[in-house]
Amino acid sequence: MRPEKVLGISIVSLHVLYVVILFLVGYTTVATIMASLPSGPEQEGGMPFDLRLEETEAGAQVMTLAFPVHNEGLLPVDIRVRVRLLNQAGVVLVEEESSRNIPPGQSEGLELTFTISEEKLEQVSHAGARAEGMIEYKTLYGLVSASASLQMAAAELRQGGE
Amino acid sequence: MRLRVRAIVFPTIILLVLAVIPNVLVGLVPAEAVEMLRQVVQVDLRGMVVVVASLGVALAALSFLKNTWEKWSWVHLGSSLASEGGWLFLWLLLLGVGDPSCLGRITRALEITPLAAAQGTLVVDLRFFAFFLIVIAGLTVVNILLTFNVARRSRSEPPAPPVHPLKDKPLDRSDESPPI
Repeated sequence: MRPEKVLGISIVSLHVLYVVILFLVGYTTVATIMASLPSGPEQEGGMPFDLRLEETEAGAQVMTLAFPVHNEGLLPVDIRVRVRLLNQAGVVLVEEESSRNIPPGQSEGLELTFTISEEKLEQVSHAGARAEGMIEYKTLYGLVSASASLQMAAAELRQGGE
Repeated sequence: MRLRVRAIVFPTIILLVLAVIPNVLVGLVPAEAVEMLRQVVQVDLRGMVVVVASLGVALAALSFLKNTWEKWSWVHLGSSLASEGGWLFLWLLLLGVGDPSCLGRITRALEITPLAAAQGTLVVDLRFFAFFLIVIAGLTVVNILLTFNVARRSRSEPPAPPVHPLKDKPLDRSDESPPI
């Protein structure tokens, strides 16, 4: 076979492969996001995570963030969640991270639990203290990724949990 | 497919896919959704459709040129290379959601209305697809040059001498009577 014919067939095959991979990644991403977003009348318009605040007898606060992730796609996905609390000077008071590899068709819950002592809670209550959250999504064995990070006043987070 | 048929069919398909269908589809998207996309992730959907439609017209014109001229002509070569560049630009534009220079790495500031004090950033990394496209485009350019070279060489070769039906026919003496 002539070289330009061989090259032509290879290019067509690469185009087909490109479209197949694009479809797999697109389908997995859309299906995972749609399945993981809150649904139902009681959760409509809510955030895609559950936040609980409990107080211990010693006066410390136990904060639990739960992210349910349902992989309804065709490729495995990696999810990483990180939450940090910083005081007004930008010093990290609390940092927690959790990650999971979720095979297709399975559901996993990512849960972050951290305890904020009374002393740290005092620092968090000041104006200027902030909370940072980051969620990272990877698929196609890490070749395609998306991440969303959010910074907000820590006081607002406390109001959200109450 | 014959050259003239291809010169009509391919540009028509390109115009339909890139100019007509996106305009119809964007007309069906509710105005609130278009506005939400613009505010939350700074994607100007209508602007993108205009750019894609303009590229569609240019690519259809290049496809017409490419399919009208023979493979050995310089016009075919030029239009093929320009067409490949146009397609690569279009794909990078779509991957970069309106910004082809980001090569598939999109960074957007998020504006979340319920949390007024919140600041967010969204980063989407599609560089794998951009790299894949650049590899395909590179191979396609090589193939265009190779095809042009082969077509030009086969055109410049002198045609084979015509075979005379009687003169060049080997003599068949089987039915001849043996010499006395």
